Amino acid sequence: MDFQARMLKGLLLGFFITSFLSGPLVAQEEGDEGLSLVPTEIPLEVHYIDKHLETLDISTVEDILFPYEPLSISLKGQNVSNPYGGGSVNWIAMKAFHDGEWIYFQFAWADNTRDEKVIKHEQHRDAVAILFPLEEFSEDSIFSPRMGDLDKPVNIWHWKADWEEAFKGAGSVNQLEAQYPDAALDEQTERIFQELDRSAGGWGAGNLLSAPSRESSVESLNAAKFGTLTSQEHQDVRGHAVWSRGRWTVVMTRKLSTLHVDDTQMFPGQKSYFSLAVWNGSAGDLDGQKSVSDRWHPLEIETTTN
Amino acid sequence: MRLSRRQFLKVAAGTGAAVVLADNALALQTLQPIADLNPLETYPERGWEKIYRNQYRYDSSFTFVCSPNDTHACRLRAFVRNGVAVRIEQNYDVDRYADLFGNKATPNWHPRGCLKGYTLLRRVYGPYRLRYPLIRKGWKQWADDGFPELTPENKARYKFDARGQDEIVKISWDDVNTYIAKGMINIAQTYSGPEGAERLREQGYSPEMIEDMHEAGTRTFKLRGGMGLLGVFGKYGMYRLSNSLAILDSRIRGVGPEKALGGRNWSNYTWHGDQAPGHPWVHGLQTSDCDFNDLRFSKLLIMDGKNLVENKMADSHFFIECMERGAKIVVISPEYSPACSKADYWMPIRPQTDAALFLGISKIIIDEKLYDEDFVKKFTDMPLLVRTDNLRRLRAADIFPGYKNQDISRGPSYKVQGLTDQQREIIGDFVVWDLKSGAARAITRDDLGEKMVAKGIDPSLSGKYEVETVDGEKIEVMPLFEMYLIHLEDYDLDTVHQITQSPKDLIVRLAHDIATIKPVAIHNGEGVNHWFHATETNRSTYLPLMLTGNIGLPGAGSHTWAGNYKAGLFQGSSWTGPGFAGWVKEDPFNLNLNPRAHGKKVKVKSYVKGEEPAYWNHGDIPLTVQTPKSGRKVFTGKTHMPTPTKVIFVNNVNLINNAKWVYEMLKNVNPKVELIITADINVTATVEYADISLPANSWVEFEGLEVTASCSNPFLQIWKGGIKPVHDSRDDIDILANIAVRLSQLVKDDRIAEMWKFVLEGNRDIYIQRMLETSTTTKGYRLKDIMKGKYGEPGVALLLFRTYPRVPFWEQIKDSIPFYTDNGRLQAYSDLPEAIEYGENFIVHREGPEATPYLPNVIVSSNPYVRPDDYGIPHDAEHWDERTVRNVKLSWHKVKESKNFLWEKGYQFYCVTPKTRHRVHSQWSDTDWNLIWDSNFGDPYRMDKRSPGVGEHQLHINPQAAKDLGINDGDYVYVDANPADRPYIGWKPNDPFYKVSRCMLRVKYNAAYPYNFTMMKHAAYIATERSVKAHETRADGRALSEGTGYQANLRYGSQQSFTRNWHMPMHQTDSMFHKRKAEMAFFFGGESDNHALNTVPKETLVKITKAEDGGLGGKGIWEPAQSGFTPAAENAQMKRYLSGKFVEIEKEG
Repeated sequence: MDFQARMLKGLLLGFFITSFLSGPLVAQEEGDEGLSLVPTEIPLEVHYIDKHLETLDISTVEDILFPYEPLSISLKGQNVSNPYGGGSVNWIAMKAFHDGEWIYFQFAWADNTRDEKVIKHEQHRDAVAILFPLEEFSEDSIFSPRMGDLDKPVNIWHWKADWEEAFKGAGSVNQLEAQYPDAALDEQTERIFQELDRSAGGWGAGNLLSAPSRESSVESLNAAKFGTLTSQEHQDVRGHAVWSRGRWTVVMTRKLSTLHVDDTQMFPGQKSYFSLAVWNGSAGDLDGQKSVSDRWHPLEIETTTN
Repeated sequence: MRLSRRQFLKVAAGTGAAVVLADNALALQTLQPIADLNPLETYPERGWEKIYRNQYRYDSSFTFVCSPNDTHACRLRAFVRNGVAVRIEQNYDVDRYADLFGNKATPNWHPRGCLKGYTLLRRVYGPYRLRYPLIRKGWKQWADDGFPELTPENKARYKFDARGQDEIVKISWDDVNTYIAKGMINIAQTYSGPEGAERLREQGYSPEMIEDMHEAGTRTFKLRGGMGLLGVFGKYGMYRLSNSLAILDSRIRGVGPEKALGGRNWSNYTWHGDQAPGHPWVHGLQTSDCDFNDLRFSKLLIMDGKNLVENKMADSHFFIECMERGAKIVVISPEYSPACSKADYWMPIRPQTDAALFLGISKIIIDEKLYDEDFVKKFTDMPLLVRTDNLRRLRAADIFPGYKNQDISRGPSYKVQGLTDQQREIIGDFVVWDLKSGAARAITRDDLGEKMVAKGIDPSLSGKYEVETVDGEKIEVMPLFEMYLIHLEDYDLDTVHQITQSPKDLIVRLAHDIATIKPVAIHNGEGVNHWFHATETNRSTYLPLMLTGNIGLPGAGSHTWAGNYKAGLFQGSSWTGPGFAGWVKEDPFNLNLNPRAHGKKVKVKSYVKGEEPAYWNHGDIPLTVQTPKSGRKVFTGKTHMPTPTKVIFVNNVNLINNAKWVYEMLKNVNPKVELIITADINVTATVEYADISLPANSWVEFEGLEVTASCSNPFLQIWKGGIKPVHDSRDDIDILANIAVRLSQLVKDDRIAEMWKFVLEGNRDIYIQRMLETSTTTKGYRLKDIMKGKYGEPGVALLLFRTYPRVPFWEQIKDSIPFYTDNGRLQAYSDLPEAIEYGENFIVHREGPEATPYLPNVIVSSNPYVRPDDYGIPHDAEHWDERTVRNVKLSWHKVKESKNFLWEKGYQFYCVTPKTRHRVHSQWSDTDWNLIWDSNFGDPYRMDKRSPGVGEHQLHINPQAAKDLGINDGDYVYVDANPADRPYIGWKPNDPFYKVSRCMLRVKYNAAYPYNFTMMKHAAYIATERSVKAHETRADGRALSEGTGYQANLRYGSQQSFTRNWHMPMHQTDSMFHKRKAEMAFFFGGESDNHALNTVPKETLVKITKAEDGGLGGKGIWEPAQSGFTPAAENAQMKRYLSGKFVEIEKEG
């Protein structure tokens, strides 16, 4: 492949990355700066705690997990393919527990800027995502920790700061009225047309980004390689977060098992893997520009019989 | 089989709860490797695309006519879902339009429509609709108190002097009609009879105005069907109501039909300044305009102050087609307009000097003998002899003893054009010097073209001759052509270059192009018609065309389009019946109530008189000046004389908003008006200042048929709406009919209501059929056939013209039929007493009375046959009316040394106010999308809360001129004109109304504009007292009036803050002989929309001063002006781009 052809391919890949919110995996281009398929050794232990939470509240989760040491995971900039980027978040600390029915993951990382307002084109959000394989794998069948592979689909839980903020409703900074209190949009006419069936654009199409209200700050997605990221029709993951003194603390939770084929299924005693990505909006992180854990991390779910 | 990801997931989910990882293999087969680099191949899900396809689904559709005042009248199709019209598209139907004889329109009319039509639904459903009838609280109280006399105390009590601060309240249709009827009856009674006249005298009205009322109080009623052709029955119906007021007068004064008088009909076309006022001076026709598809035949197309790109959007493709067909395009304009970008060359010109340019071009054509002598002799007045003693044309009766006018009663003057014996007596016959006989010879108005040749006349164009009058006096006479040789000595190339500032080489080039290319068409519009001396500019455009025979041919002529004015499209004649007049002037004392009667049976009698709103707009006075030499002199002809204004009733027109000098109207004139009614679709500034506002249906809501046509295409358009009225609005015609019913009940006379019998019975179609069967252009059509689609799209047919495209004066040239002038020829000269007195017997260049650096209104000439009267008014007189009437003749070398006092005081910017492409005059001024597009400051989020709405009005200015004034791109500025009269007479700096009325807006640097030339698009929604109060007190800063919901487009003032009305004397003669506008007939003097005052808003000079910084919240420079990509602030990259260095071409090899 001559230089020009490679440049062209690079440009096109860049287009896809930015278009489809994906992390790249181009195995054949791995190098010293690429990624390793060998998982790390220290697992994230998901402790069994027989305590059922009625509501998801981050301080309660923090209290429960307080006695446990976090697993520190190093992150680095996405360095495999266009558009490259990230790297401003170097470490993330994780803890986890389950109660036999629900599993809770807690993420904490330093970020001096709280980016939860995404109205203008130039505004980017803070976010964190955790990726699980849909299929158990062994060292023989190991595959990319980035967005899965053609025959290795993954399930991704993606928490977004602006979605979290959107729960505030009318006062949310992500409401147009709050961002532009002096706007003079012709809402009357818009309403007449939008209330007609079949005409409400992305909302009508079920695009979560266009939804007028949200049930969760976490989006659950699937991917089976770069360029295939797809939001799930059912959304089962819930989240809660606080930002305090330059630090995000995020909890994501879901039932261990669900009825959906495209969800990762967990059970006590299970050993699996995960990988991570973190976005720092103020640093310009967006889509494939993100800080990533470049290897699989083991996950061990404690049995309920301990 | 290939499944999408989502399809797979659905299948898999249906298999049950178990996690069957084996099925993933199926899923993965559906996902293509990214290496394919084809997004459509790898895209996991396309089902969502259905939603966008579904957006185009609809339950039904209907066509309607988008009928704003833009001359296009495009038939569009609206699509309806769940009862809501959701989308509008063009109908692509013109190729099916046909006439009685099977002729069809060309498909090349497509595409039609424009962005206004496509956003119409935002107006229809938007928040700025007039939803129900409104009444001003103070006016209602005045009525409830029994209409006490409006003394100064009562004017204040009922807020006639502060309408803009009063409360406006909702009222039912039933109640509002009662209030209207009672108000009309009271006012008519108050001003009727000698007592009424005395009241008006006491109020200070001029005696000529009171006299012209003939003691009829109904004569103080000014009714205006807003650009009536836009809805011949609903809008022009206003004039039918006006005619029926004669019944009211007869009841009040107890007079019969012979003395009863109806209302005054306010004009549209002329008051808009849309007419080319010089046209009747040249050919006697109201206006020369061709169908737009005639453009494609031009080989030299000259836009003189015309912007076909922006202002003829639906049909501008025809001029683009000219380029494809190899024509040469020339644009004459002060600024590098969008049209200039399409031109072969752009002739820059100092504003309002076009007449000098065309005189200079004509001189070159004559000097170089490039003129068509045959055409000049056959069709122009150039051979006619002119007396050098009194400057009148020599009449045959002057020199031939016992001369009797020749018998032409069998010729076209009588048979086709409706000339009467009485008129013939007045105009007489004319004289040429016949080269064949070597003697003076009489010539009639029928003797032109081949008929002159057949008569054996070969007129001389040159020489001076002595003739003896029947009184024995020896006088000198000359063919006009010979006189023009003298006249044009003042317009040599150097002088014209100095006057116009146009490049010499381009002047010569244009002269040669006009002389050597054929056909040549010159198009103008508001660009030149809005200047005080438009008459001379219009006349001058004809001169080179008359010299080169470019009249009456496809692709040739001098035309103007501005305003859809043409009632004449439904003109009556002796052989068809009354046409349009049968609708608006049916005799209310002799109504034809037989539904089966032919339209010819309708008796027509006019009880109304046309009048220019310009008189109201000038302080409700005619042009009257106290002159040193002639004492008090009234320059307004009797045929133009206005009456005092006590009732204003308009529909479909934003009268207040579009009145020049509006704040003078609001402050000093309207307090004398006792009832102002407007019927409109939206909440306009007129609603803000009306006593009563009536909501009208929009074009898509019409509940019965309406008719329109256009001056720029041959399409008869009839339509009704397709959705139910969104609010409590009514068809215009129903609004009028129901007012008539209430009037009828209160005066106990059924005839006022019977004027609308068939409307009230739900059968207005009878009136439509009557008009169709009696108009020269529609005789033979049946409404039912048209609505069934017999001639193409249901509702459409072609008007019956001699030619498609319609070519003005085609008959004159081909059939040697006289033009509509007294001598039957194209006129380069006028011997009207007024024209001679004003120094405009020849086509001359005059500086404007205000917009000039030189002596205001000076005539540039040293021609001994131009002998104007200055009435002794000194050169330093500053009053606007004195400047208007002062006729001073000076040679150019003296003119250029003279000064305009305003220029000396720092008013050194011309400010033109053309139409924007994003609105149709003031319509769409409250449509959010259009406002966002309309300026560089459109912002629906209103990040700078100083913005009055989602957009901001702007003044385009030369960057260097702005910098010299310390004004940055995007700053707010004040724009002020002559402080003696603007924004209103008697303003004081601390007057709160002064703050409302002083124009403040954003500045936009624009290098297309020369140094002293600025531009502000016209008809933005003006600031009102309520909108300013809202802007200053609302938390969000919007200029959104409380109570009415009126949305102003400016924070303060408007372009009407620095415009004013001018009473141009040449527009007000009593002696001009010309054709009636809607009838095959002649008359002398004034007729509204035909020969009458034209509004000339460009006639102003302004001073520009910085008001506020343009940056967010009033701090610093407007952000985009710091980007490096804006005029006069370009960064290195932008400069490189502008210099064409982004692409560098390497030499081959």
